[in-house]
Amino acid sequence: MLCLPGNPLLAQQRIASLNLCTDLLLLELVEPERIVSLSYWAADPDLSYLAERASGLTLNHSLVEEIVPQQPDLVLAGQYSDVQVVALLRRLGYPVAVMDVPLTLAGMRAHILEFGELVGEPERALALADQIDAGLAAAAPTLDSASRPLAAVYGPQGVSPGRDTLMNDLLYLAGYRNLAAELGVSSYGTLSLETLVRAEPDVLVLDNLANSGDSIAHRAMRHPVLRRQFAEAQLLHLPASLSVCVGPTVVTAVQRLVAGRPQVAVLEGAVGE
Amino acid sequence: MSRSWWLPLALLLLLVAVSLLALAHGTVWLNPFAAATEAWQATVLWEIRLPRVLLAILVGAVLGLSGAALQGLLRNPLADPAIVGVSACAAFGAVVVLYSGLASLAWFALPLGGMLGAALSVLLVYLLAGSRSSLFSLILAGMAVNAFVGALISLVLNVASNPFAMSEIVYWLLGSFANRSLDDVAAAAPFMLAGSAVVLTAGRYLNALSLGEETAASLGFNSQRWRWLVVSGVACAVGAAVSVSGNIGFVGLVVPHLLRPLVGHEPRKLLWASALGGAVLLVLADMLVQGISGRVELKLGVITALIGGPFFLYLIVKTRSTDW
Repeated sequence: MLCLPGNPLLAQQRIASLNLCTDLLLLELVEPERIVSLSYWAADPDLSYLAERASGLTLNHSLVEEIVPQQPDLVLAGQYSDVQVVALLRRLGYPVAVMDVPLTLAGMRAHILEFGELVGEPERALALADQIDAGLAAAAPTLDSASRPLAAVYGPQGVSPGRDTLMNDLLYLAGYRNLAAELGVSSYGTLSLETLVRAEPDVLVLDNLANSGDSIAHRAMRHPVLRRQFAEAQLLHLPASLSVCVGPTVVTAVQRLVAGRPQVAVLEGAVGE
Repeated sequence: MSRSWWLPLALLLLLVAVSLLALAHGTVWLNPFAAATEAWQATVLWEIRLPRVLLAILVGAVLGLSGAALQGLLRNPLADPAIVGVSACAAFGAVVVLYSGLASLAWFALPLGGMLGAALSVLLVYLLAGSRSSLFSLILAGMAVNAFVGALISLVLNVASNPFAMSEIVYWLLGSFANRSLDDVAAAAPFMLAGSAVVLTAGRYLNALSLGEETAASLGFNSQRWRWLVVSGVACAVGAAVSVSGNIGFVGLVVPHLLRPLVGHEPRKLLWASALGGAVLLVLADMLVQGISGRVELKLGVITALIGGPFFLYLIVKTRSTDW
């Protein structure tokens, strides 16, 4: 099945997407002429590594009114897309594929291949999946579990990804332990400033959303405790656009995390106490 | 008169006790008097918990004091900075300053925004309800101001180009002390203290006013001047308080009512007692939100509204039977 050339009918579809992760795979696999609408997140450089390419295309805000005039042959949605929007589009006769976008690395390869079939570009999808797998294999260090530094991911509002998240997989692959996961957080939870200070992590992973802008969440990120407790060397800035969706960016994310790992000597000091 | 000093003293001791308890209480119990055995303990105690406790004390005192002052000034038992719309307008001022980026221009920009908003609300309420308002015209004016300003806050947060702005509506409408630093205390405390000091000077005027406006005038008080003093003190203190804590309701309503019988219905003594009582209430409420939090910490206004809402209804029923 996977070795068959793309179905020529599928390869002519004009496609709209309502979800950032399906936006990004669509941009990776399909010629821009066939993309009739992307979610507005796709053009946000804070979240989308393809923002420049997306900003030239028609964007939607998950409103049926924005999709219908484009007359797409296929609409892609994620499992968390608004069910009302999906239901209305279907009632109006538009085929909607609700993709189960993987939240971890586990389903990534199968997802990309299935996506490729759906949009009529199975060969490109296979190439992309192979490229990502090879990239991850090359980027991930081989190490024993004793020398894994403890990383805490701390986002605005104290949000931290725990078990069963993409970020957790990336951290583990890059040779870290993840504080939130060790504290029993599954999916996304919050860490209080107190918990963070008590755990004394070796590395604090911050995303770029934490640095720009003014809000209560941003003011909390500038709390003097964070500045004092964590030396510049312990801070690892990882753009959110690298870890928000499964796709080629996971390789870059792992590379950045590996590059930011503290030296072994530092770690042995920490382990020995 | 032994009665004049025992209540403030008792409240002060209670405040010290609950504040120490709040310092000790958190994700783990810490003894504020013991030397830190590990580096993180000092950080947690003095840089994470202390700012919270200080803000709870200051904001609680401001809200309790302002409630007592407004009730005395308007001679209206249902007056409270949140109910008459001062807190919501202060939140609006702070929201505009914060999400437009103006807050980073100067350390005092955020409290200033809150104070300007609060000042605006006082003018609005005066215009809508008049200076000698009936119970219900004041409440109605406050309701209208609250609804309108609540919508303005949502509007500003919606157009703000910040991914977190929309979710922070909850913070501005219900208030929280989470993740505050000593920088926040330093920025807002001078204005809260200055505003409160001004309000506290009005004690004797409020005493005279409780006997009627003519009596106050005959005792040599210039009503116009004192009104403006109290109102600007409240606007300054509440504006600064809301800019660092969000809008925490009902403190200014509940605390003066609980303490009024204990001070012999004397407005001047009620000011001091309500400041201390408000501080105690908010320190306790802030401990409670940390104790019963789920994945995301509960907002303070939820606790104060759970206490204050039924109390407000009780007051309405009670006042209905006396002076409709």
